[in-house]
Amino acid sequence: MKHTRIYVIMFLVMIVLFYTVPYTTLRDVKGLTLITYWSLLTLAWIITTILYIRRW
Amino acid sequence: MLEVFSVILIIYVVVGTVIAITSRKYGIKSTSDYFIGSYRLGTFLSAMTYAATTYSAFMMVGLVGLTYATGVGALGFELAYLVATVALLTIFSRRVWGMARERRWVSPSEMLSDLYNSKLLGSLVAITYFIALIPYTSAQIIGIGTLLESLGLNYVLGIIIATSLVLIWTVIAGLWSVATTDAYQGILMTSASIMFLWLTLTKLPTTDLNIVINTLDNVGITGLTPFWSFNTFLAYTLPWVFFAVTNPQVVQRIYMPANEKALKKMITYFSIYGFLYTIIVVIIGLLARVLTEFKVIPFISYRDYVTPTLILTLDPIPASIIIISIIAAAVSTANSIILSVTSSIIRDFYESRLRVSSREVLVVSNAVVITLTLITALIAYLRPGFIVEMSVLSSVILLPLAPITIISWLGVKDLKSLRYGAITALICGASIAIYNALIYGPVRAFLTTVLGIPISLWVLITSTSILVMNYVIVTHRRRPQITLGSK
Repeated sequence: MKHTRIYVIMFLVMIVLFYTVPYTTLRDVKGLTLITYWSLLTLAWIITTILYIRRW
Repeated sequence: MLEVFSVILIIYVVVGTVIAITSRKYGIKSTSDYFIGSYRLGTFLSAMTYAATTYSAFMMVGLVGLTYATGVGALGFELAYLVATVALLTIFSRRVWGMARERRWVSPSEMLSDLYNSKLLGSLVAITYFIALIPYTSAQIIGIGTLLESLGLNYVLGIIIATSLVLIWTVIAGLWSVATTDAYQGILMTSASIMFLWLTLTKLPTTDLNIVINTLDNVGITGLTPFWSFNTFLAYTLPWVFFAVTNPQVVQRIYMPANEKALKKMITYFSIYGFLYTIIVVIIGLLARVLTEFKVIPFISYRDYVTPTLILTLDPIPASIIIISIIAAAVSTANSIILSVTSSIIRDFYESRLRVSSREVLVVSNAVVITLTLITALIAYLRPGFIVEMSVLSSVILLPLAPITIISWLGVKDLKSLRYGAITALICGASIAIYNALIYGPVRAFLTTVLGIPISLWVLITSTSILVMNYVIVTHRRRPQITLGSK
């Protein structure tokens, strides 16, 4: 239950990062910054999920 | 080109049909077998059917074009969906998977009907699925017809091919033939996308990555373009963020894995598949734009023509394989939806109300599959503007199911007391979506804001508020009344 709670909190943080950072800090970026940001954030989330699922 | 395409199409159809026929060995004796494979799907089939059902022809046609026209914001939109789906699956699927076995759920509407102890809710959910998903399924068939038309083939021939495949690969062995052909088509979809990416890369007149990035920078699509205002991003992502809990064809797939290990692997493999497929498709869209800037291909103003334009620059064999992979994506999504909507109709309106033998139910199930497929084909043939456009709103119409489903999966006690709230939330939420579709037209309604808030968010706020109010009232009534003077 404790792990689930941590996972849910991490998901909420993840969603906030996913929506806010590109519309604030990364608003006027060029090059591969935005594509790298969203890709790495998603990849980090997938890895977190795989590690969490192992604890089921 | 047409000869090569015809040969590859025949190979695709024959291989798929052989796989579907082979899947009959699993046996179909009940609706549980027919609609969910009696909770017996292995790791590979579970993951591949989830991925192939989720990712439709939108990826290779719609997302490539959206990226070409609007830039990297399209990646954010698609990855937001993936992140949320993976999280929702991880948080809820184990519990739902266990309950589905214990309570013998077959359809998602039956699940809600059981949890809220309301047959009326189950029936309304089944009707909502029908209204929201039949236009969406027709759009898949229209996509195939249009794609073949762009190659010089007949539009009606495309509809006939698509309808036949959806029908035959569903009727042969129900979920077993759908899942096995999904796995086959899922492999085809990723392999073809990798090949498409490679061939698009070889069209670039330069190998210098800096030149490619500078070109995209000059067009202004590496950052957030004016198209991707925060409201548009919200309007696009919100219905898809809840896709895993609102769309019956994917909710039903949580019931199917044979054991917990298969369920775990389903989530893991689906995440990896989704991530790779999305990245590949978005890069193809960006490269297509670079090719336009280098005058390799002309500027394409109608974004759904980006993929066909690129395909026509390729040799006939790879071009045909890529077209077949798009057909595969559409067919794998369409037959899963047809089967899922049928399961809701059968379980909520027929099997639960009448005492009938398994054999009779299976005959009626096949009849409903045939009827729904023919309705989608007829819509695809006639292309009535409003109904076709409604496909855009399918996930918005299903959005009220998000709070209804999530609350039921959270294990809230005495859900029965929330049944009227759930019914009202569903009716009000879906009505807001349909009302705005009638007022503005479905396409405009998708992006219209009221008081600065997108319609999809209004749908979600309304349905959630109704349910929460119902919960607060019920909880307040249950609390022991403390009167003055008492301890």
